[in-house]
Amino acid sequence: MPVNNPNIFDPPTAEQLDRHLQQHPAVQSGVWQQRGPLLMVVAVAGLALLMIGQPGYALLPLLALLGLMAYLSGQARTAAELQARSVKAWELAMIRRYREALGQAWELLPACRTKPELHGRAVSVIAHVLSELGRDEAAEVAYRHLADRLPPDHPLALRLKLQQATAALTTGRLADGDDLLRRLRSHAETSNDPSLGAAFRMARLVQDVHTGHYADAVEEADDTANALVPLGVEAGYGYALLALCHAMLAEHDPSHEDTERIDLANRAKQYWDKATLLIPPAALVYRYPDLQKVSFANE
Amino acid sequence: MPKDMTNLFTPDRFARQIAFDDTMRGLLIGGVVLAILLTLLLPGMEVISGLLAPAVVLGLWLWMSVSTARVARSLAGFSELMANQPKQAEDALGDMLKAKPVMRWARLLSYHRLAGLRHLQRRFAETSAICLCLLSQPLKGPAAATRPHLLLMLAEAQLEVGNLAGAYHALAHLQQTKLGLTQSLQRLAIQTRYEVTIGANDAVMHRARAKVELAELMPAKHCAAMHAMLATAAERAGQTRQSDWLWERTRLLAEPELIEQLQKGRFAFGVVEHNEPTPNPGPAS
Repeated sequence: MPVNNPNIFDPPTAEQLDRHLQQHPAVQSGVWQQRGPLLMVVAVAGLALLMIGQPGYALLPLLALLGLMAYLSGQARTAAELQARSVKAWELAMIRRYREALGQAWELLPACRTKPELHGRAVSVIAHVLSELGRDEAAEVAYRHLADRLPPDHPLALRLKLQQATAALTTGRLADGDDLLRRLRSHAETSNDPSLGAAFRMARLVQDVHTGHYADAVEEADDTANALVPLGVEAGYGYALLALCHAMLAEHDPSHEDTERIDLANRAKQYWDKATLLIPPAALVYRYPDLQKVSFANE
Repeated sequence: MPKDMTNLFTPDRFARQIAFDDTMRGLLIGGVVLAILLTLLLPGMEVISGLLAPAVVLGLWLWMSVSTARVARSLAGFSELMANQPKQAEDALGDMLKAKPVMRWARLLSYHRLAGLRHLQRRFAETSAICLCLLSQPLKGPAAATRPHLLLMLAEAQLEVGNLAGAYHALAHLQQTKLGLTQSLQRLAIQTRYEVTIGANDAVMHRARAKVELAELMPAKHCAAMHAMLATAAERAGQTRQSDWLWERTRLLAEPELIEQLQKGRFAFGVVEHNEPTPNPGPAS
């Protein structure tokens, strides 16, 4: 994974990412690092006492004090630089320069081991980018790493577990995904955060598509569509999956009569139009290749 | 008596505190210089040069460092406190602002948080007053990073109180300020709102497609409001097709209640966060 040229940074596999995370875990600052400045102050004070009557060395305590100030400002500067690099990686991910973002976050991990918050941010950038690049197995490793380090009912942990469940479903580990979604259901349904509920509905929709439960998705389609609104433009992916469910039911379910099939096909087209109003068809198909099965996706 | 702006912020109190902090810092630096001079010029006075002077300097430095460290510790968890428990945040700010002497950056950051709290409480006149006071100070060290956020809060607060000239000046300063991505998006939203308010429809529609792409990076509610503003400007500029397309997207991006507000031209949706933006990437972020 060369990182000198950000454009040729290869996304890591799940094993490579797991190894990188194990090699560079977040650690709390050591006792010496935390109390170092205080100990130095005590040492300066002790030095000052010892220096009484020795005019030649009287400057030493003052010089030590200046040295301590320089050390502390150096520490602050390093922390600010790491913070800036973390923000840069996140911004690159936001503007969809995924490989550059990934390269930056990958390099940042070893540098910010003693700063758990920044370390977590770097891992979340990696998770997000891998998910966007369709490397769901590796993304799941990152999501799991983050979710395992947060309290179980922390809002961010719930969101990460939802993303972990979605990654499990898209990589074919349906039982794991289903298990996670079952555990998250009550949290998502009682949450005050509408975007969490929306993310849960999206994950359920992905599950219905991957398990072929199109009829279930169609039955709840209107509710699902309304619930997806807090996702913003990302709701377009949900509308596209709803279109897929309607289209698959119209084309392949023999239990429906012709008029019902026409109605399903029309509704599929309506959802597809909504989806493409928000997201270009190529992006929809890139994220969910199953959408190629829908005839109008290829028009 | 509840703590309010009378207690926490007046320009006079702010100026007094800054003056006191500066004096103490001056004494500290002066003390170091004096101690060095005493050592060099009066080698026979070991008790003064070797013990008393360093002890005074050290004591002063410790006093300032300990109160600054206390303020810094409170500042670290303040954004979360402000979002979840504004009342406790008000009390914590009261304590932070009482601390003295503190280093200048800690004092400025405390007032920056106060401006954020007032912005969250929609007390926009006070937000403006605090932001203007802080922006008139040289913002150095850790406080330097707050300048864009202060300008954004000021621009939005001025729009909220209907001071278009004030909003224009803040936006003009923002144009000359280096901003992060989130801050650029916030500036875009505020500037668009300002241009819609003054009827500069052509300016709003300039590079409209690029603005739509940037709006897609905003949170859903702000994205919807940005679309509605662009749609309104397109309608006024006679670009009917563009306007229809933008309204169609708006209807997919917002809840019915918000759409109703936006259709009535109410774009006051609080785009600037009460704290500085922190990265939290993810599909639903």
